[in-house]
Amino acid sequence: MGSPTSVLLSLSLKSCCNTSSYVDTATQTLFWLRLFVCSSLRVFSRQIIMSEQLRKFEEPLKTDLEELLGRFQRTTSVRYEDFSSMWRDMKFGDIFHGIQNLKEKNAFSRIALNTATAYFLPPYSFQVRVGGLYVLYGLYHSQCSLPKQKIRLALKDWGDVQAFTQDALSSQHYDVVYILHKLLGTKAFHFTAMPVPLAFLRDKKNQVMPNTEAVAKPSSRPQQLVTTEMLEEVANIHQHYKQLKASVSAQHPEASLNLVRHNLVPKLFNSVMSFSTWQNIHTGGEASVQSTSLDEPSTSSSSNQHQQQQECSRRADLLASIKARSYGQVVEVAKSRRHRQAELCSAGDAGPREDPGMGGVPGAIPRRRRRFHNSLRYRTLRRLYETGGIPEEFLTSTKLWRLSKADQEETTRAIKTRFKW
Amino acid sequence: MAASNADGTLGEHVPRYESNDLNSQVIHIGSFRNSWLETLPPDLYSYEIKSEEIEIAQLAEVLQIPTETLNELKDICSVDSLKSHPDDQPVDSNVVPPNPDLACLRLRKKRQDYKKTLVRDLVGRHDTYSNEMESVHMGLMPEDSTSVVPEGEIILSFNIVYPILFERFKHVRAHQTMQVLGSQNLTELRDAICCVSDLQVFGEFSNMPDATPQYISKDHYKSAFFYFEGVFYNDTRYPECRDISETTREWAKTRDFPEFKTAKMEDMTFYDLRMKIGYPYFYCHQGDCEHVMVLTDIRLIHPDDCRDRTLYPLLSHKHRVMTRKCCVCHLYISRWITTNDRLAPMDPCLFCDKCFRMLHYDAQGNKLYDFQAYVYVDPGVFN
Repeated sequence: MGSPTSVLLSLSLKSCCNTSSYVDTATQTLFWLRLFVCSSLRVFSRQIIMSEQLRKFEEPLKTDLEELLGRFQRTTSVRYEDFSSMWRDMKFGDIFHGIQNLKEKNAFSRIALNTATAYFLPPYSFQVRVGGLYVLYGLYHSQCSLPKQKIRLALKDWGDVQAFTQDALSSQHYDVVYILHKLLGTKAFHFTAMPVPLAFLRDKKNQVMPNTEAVAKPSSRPQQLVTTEMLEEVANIHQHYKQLKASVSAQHPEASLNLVRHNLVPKLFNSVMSFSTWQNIHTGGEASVQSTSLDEPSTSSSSNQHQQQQECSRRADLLASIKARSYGQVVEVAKSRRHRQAELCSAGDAGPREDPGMGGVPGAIPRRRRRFHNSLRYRTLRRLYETGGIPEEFLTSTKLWRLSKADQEETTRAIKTRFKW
Repeated sequence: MAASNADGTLGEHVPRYESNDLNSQVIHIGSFRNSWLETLPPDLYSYEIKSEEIEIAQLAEVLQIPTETLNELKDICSVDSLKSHPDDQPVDSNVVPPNPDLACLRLRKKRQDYKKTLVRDLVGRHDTYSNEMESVHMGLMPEDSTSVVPEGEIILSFNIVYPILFERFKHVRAHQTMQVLGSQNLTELRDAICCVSDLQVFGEFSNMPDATPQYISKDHYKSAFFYFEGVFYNDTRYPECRDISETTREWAKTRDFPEFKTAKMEDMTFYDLRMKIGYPYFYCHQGDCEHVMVLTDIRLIHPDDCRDRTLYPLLSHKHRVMTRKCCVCHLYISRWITTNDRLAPMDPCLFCDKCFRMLHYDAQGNKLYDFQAYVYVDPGVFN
């Protein structure tokens, strides 16, 4: 349904039109319309999408709900009094406080109710489900939103709810049934098709898989394949083969019959050994850290560890010395670029250039190197300045409100921090 | 995805997730509604809220316990048991309580503390009224009792997306969200969708700027179609309407696509449709203005929804678009666009009405120099 359709349909539009001159203006206007629609599709920086903002609350919500339900589960009771005392204790009703915007209040209530509904449905145990029902009751009545956001119940889960009610009734848990009836009576439910409204929005950031690399066993397939028994067998077969070859061709075996290496078995053994030592070296760092935290001293592993640590520290020293040597020397540049000689700075000055006198260039605007690279405009201006093309004043643009300040005054720029959840 | 329910026990009209967890499988909307209405006792989806005595009496019957126990239950399970602060100490719910334990409150406190460090915290003026659209329609009853939506009606929510959508803006909430009743025709939804390409006026008007445009594109090009699940629903109400899905269907025949069917838009109500929830569908009008539509939600009507039938299809959310201002005054929304204009700073250039006339025409209304002018309708006209 992409471009072929639109091409075809625009052709059909043209065939609909009566006069040809009409088509030109029509298509031209449409073209500009498209152009302007594209460029006016700007998202305000403040109008950050509510759902993205509130997605940060999913994790904390889950933590809080699991805390509450965990406490409830530990009491091994299904009485509402116990639950309500826990609710008051944790002051769970305050979870809706702190939002100024009504729209955000509604959106947060929806998310909270949707998350809590999951605990009311199977596959959780009966007690957790009772806890989930109480949580829903509590959240529904403590929400500050207007209109009160409802609990979504999908058709496929209604059967489960009925079964749950029957169980509670038969076990004479009257408060469970009472609470459920009360919720139904105050029209707290929306009877829907799916538990959550679906808008075909794929999650950009998929759930981060736990990093199993550190705990995974390093692959040991070569070692599994080439075991000592296997090597013995191969050596045996090799021996037989050589004898067969010698018996076939009487005196000197022909060169063309040398299809197998002579030293197959030793070579195989050596390559596997070198692979395993390489593996140990490369995972030696993590392995040593892990084994220290695991609290299992064993002589062989500790000596191994020690060896690995020694190797690691030797490598580190080597790298450090190489780096020191390379950065200690300043390469002289060609004579054509003598205005841009490199200078040796000590490690302490490696921060962003806030002091104009430091970098040797007067009038430099403080730039944060780590966050973003200097723009093309800035780089061009700098280059022009250095080649002597433009005077120094061109590097900074004068702000209107600073026209009246004295020449010697320098105002430091406050670094603005953006709010991050 | 309920593990305890074997698929065999669920009826065939019960919506379930398809394999990818993004959308449901195809359901027939009418039979979905019937499934709900069969299983639910009528007082659960009716509009009226029962009085307390009736409720207690009914509960006593169901639970089969004496009334004293019931009253005790009522006291224990009342809403007051949830309050964490006694009534005589009102707490401001707009402020996070000090020393929060809950993770959500701690997160919110971070934002609150950050806001305190700001010298100027500007509240956008649109944020105060951002909920206006939803709250205005809450529980609205019509004056005329014949146009009340009956109980047990279905509400469908459609997300209608911008006609041109960059990858980057896909996560912007949809251009419009419309709520439609199940018993309404498809044509009613088609009429309610507001798209700026419907308002385009064709023609070059530099010689006669005062001429009122005869018609807008909406009146001129009346053909439109919806595409749901392999069926094209064409609008055939007017004699000028053509079947613009024909080209697509013929093209599809030459490729390996299954046969697409057609139907009339005005004959179908939403109850007759078979659709997937959360799956993108298609709406095309003006020949080539294409919109992606997603059915996000189907549910039974609730007392808090708008109950006036004449107001449906209801616009429940509309994305605000920045309007483009005149390049001269930067104040008024532009209404003219000019090309080949030697006095304009850029080509093409936008003008509001006043600046346009001041620059291009003299006091008598004569055209001062050569240029082309077209009528410009800003996409933000629906704000």
